[in-house]
Amino acid sequence: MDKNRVKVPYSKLKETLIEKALLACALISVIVVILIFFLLFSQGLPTFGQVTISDFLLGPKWEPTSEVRVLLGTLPLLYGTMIVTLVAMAISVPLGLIIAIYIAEVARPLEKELLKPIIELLAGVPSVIYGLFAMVTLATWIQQLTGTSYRLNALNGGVILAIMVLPTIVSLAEDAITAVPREYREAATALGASKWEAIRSVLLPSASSGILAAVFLGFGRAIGETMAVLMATGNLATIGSILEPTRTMTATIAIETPEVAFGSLHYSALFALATELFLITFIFNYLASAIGKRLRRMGR
Amino acid sequence: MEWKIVVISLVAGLLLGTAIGYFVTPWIQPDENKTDGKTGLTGNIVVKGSDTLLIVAQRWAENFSTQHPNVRIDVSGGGSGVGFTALKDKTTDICDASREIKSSEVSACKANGVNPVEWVVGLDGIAIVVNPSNPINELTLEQLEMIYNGTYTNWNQVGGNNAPIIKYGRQSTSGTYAFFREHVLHNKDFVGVTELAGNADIVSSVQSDANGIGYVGVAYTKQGVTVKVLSIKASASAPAYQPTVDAVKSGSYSIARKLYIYTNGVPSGVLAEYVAFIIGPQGQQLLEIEGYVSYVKTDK
Repeated sequence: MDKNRVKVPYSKLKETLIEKALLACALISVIVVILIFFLLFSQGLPTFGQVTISDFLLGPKWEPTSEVRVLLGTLPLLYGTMIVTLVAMAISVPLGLIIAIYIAEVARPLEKELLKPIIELLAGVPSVIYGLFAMVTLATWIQQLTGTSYRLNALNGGVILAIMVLPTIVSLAEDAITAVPREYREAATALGASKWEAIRSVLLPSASSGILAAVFLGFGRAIGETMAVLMATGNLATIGSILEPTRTMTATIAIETPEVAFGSLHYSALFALATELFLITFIFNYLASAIGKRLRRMGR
Repeated sequence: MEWKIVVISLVAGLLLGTAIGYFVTPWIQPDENKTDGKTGLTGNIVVKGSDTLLIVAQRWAENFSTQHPNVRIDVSGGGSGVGFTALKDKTTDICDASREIKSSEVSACKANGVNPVEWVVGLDGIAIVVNPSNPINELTLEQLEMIYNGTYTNWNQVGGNNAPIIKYGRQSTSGTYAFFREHVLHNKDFVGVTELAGNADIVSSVQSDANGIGYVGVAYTKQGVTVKVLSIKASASAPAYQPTVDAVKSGSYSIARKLYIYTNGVPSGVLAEYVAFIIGPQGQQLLEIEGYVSYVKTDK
């Protein structure tokens, strides 16, 4: 009896300690995110002593080192990020979905065993190697295909990004589709649906929250990619067509940070740009989880 | 239970390895700038900066280290702008620069307790390169300016084919970029130039682009590359010159500049020996082998 009485408060203490330790670890990640945001924000704020917010966000020219007139308009950079990401999504979402459906529903077990690891392999290739491939080979192919005058352009960046983002989308979408309960498929067949009808009208809708998560994650990866687009897009900060060079926000930060003097206007501008990028990604992730939650509540 | 042991031993191994690395490394590296009279010079020298000077900086480092095996020299590029920032931050011993230090950079250095001392180490011609299939063989300085400031957009405006001019250039971290903008564009901004990270990138882009044009340090047109180097005329009536050693030395080639290295104060010890090597006959001979022009100063 005495033994039991001594044991109970001790194990309760251990339990509470473990819980608090896990909470601390979880909080660390939250704190890090908050700290990063404050660092970016505080270092970027001095920009707006010399540039108005609307000029910064909507100005059409980015010339931070000009001897004529320093212009810090980030619109061409935002445009660059967006067009490259949108091209990447336009290619990788349909393609990724098709591949995911194939792997989940159609492929024979042998094919599945082969396809899944190969696609995972694509995710493991370092981004600089993709950049190299885009700069040397893909650019030539695209130029031959479209006849454009520019080797390094937005399409080049978009296509290589699509290849980089594909494994993410395929992986998650395939998981989402496989997670749909067997009963749904059996019910669809019982009601007389063919395989494709079942996939289209039952499986995909039920897996939609997972597929959406896959798409948003791919989007987030595409927005944040630096090295590959830096090598593939030609780094021209201007708003042009898809077959002309462009420059992304990430590439700008990567290229110009090593040369800025600490505390200068250029330095603050780069941090303000980083804050803008951070906010876009953050808002986007928030929307993604909110929509996902909505879909899950609807039973999908 | 076994996996717990594996995890713990992995973490412990990682921590142990880091600790060993941290404590042992200072022992196996020679002390900075200590002269050992018996076995020769020892020391660590860090060199950062100009991409144009990178090839010859590496030759200097290789050659000096072969003669003094206990001296370790780390050479990296990034652009003259990066070199100046590193000099100011005291993260480099020598800053390679393909342009002169700006007065704002001098003040920034002084504010950080760094006294930049300039050493002229050579002369460089900036070669204007085009694809071998381009029928153009020469340009005037004014035509070059009009091309790079966006006024001329088609090769037929300078006597070539009816094709768009695809311009390649460096990024703003580059001394070559800054020099070209100052001396060819007279401080106006570049327009519509695809910005690449280094001289080698420009050469390879122009090699594979029939309508391309680029500006590179002349050393980058030597080793087995297939680009055409244009002759430059100071004005329409002047004779055209290739960036040969004699033309650069005599000033006949219009786009020539001095190459510099900067140190923090007048150096002593191993660093002084290295600087003496660079501006001495051995270093200057290596410079000329790479295609640059010697400029031996007798005053410091």
